[in-house]
Amino acid sequence: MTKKAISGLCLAFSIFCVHAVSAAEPIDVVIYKQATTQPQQHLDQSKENSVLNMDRMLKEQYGSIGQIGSESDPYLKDLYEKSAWLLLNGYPISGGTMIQIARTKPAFKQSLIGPYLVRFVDTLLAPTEDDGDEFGLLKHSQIAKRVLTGLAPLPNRLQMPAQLHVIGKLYHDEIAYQAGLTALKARTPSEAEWSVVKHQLDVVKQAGLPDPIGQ
Amino acid sequence: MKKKLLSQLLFGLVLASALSDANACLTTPAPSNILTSLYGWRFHPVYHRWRLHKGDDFRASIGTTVVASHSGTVQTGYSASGGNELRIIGDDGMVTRYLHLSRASVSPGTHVSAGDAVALSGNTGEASAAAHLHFEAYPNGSSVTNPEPLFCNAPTRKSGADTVNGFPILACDPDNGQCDTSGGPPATSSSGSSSGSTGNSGSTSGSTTAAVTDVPPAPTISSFDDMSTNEIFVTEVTKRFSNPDWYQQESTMSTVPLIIEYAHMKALQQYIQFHKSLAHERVETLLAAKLAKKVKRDITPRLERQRMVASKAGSGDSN
Repeated sequence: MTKKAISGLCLAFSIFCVHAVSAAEPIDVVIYKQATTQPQQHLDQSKENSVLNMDRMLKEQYGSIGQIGSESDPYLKDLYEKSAWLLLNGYPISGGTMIQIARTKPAFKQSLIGPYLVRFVDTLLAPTEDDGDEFGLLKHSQIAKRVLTGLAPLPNRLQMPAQLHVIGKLYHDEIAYQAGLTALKARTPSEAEWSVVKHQLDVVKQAGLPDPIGQ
Repeated sequence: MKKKLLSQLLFGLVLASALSDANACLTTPAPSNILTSLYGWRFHPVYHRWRLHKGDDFRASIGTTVVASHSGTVQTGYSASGGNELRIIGDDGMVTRYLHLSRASVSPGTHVSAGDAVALSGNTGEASAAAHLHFEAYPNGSSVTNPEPLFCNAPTRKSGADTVNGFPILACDPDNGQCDTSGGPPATSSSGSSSGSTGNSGSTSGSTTAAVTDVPPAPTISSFDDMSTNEIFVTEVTKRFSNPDWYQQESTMSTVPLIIEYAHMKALQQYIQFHKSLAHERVETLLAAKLAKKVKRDITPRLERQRMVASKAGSGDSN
């Protein structure tokens, strides 16, 4: 009887755990929720304007053939709109992550505008041969590489939240930093997993990069 | 007869279209054909400033021959940020710019054809942190465009094996557990030119790889950490002392670039001093080793003699 009760308890506990993990909100939802809690002055460009500007920029400078507004997949369209809004308001990590999520979806293959957004996001933080300043893109990307290697031991379910949290800190993206933290907590990491994340946050802090100017 | 005429006409048309296609693409201006950084908007994480990197950067050390990417008339110029510059105003309206040059090797007004040597690459201009060729293309003469797809010979991208390549969050689906845990940068694309990517896609799950395959060219970042000490010295010294325009460039600099230049010179001085002290240390160690060897060689027979004397004296006492 006791055995039966224990196994029943175990079953209930495991169901609870599975439920807790699966109940964790998708990362894009967490990012968007976090963005809507930001003070309005930090996101002064409206979503409509951001989408229009992004469409124009992608057409004129990247030779895009599609438009965000004419994306046929509603989920991808939503991700693209949120991404354009966040990116053009100066939140590169949270905006770029939306695109990184989009590119893993099967419908992305049929998306006309998606590849150009990927192209935009992929070059967004890549240094050029002209970046010689100590606190510029080159330095940030070197630390980002170190951080990503440091986060590698984490399991798959924690990878994106942890990266969002730590890389968000590195690039001063408050939305990404907070959203990463919320998403991490919802995925219940162990003590050891938390310590990996904290250690990488220390790496970012010890790099001594300056805070953004004019914020 | 009519048939022959028609076939000749058809042949002429095919030939003409083939020729026009051949003219439509650009010749690679740098012999390396390696891109170290790509066209696109950049967002500075500290200054929170947007900047368009208007062209592609080619790997080209100082003094490398730069060739015309298309036919046209040459113009030369200089700007504080771009250094010595050459422009080719194409016969078809295409305008291309070549920046950070050591010098142009043709005079302004010269008509050149694709592939003709036009300049020597360099590291001139405030905006150049290392020797490279910055190449821009303006297809209709006014609006800039990404030059990469315009080349006849698709350039290779520099391997980003030791640097973050592109966006620093992995392209993965966290909710399905489909993630690349290799800790590297996102898998980049595509179209035969992704040799420069870090290859994380290799360990990415099936769905992710499939999704990523169809995206257009993604960037590889540039880095200067692959320069040898010798290259750093040559670049820094040549930039200042082998460039006749340097004094003129310096005189046009505003205060901040002058202070940066001062800091660069100080850093270079310290770097050279550090290498000099390393060299001194090595010479001193070698000299010390030689001296120790000599002393040992000298002291061994002396000790031997002293031991003999001592043993003789000991035997005399016992007698």
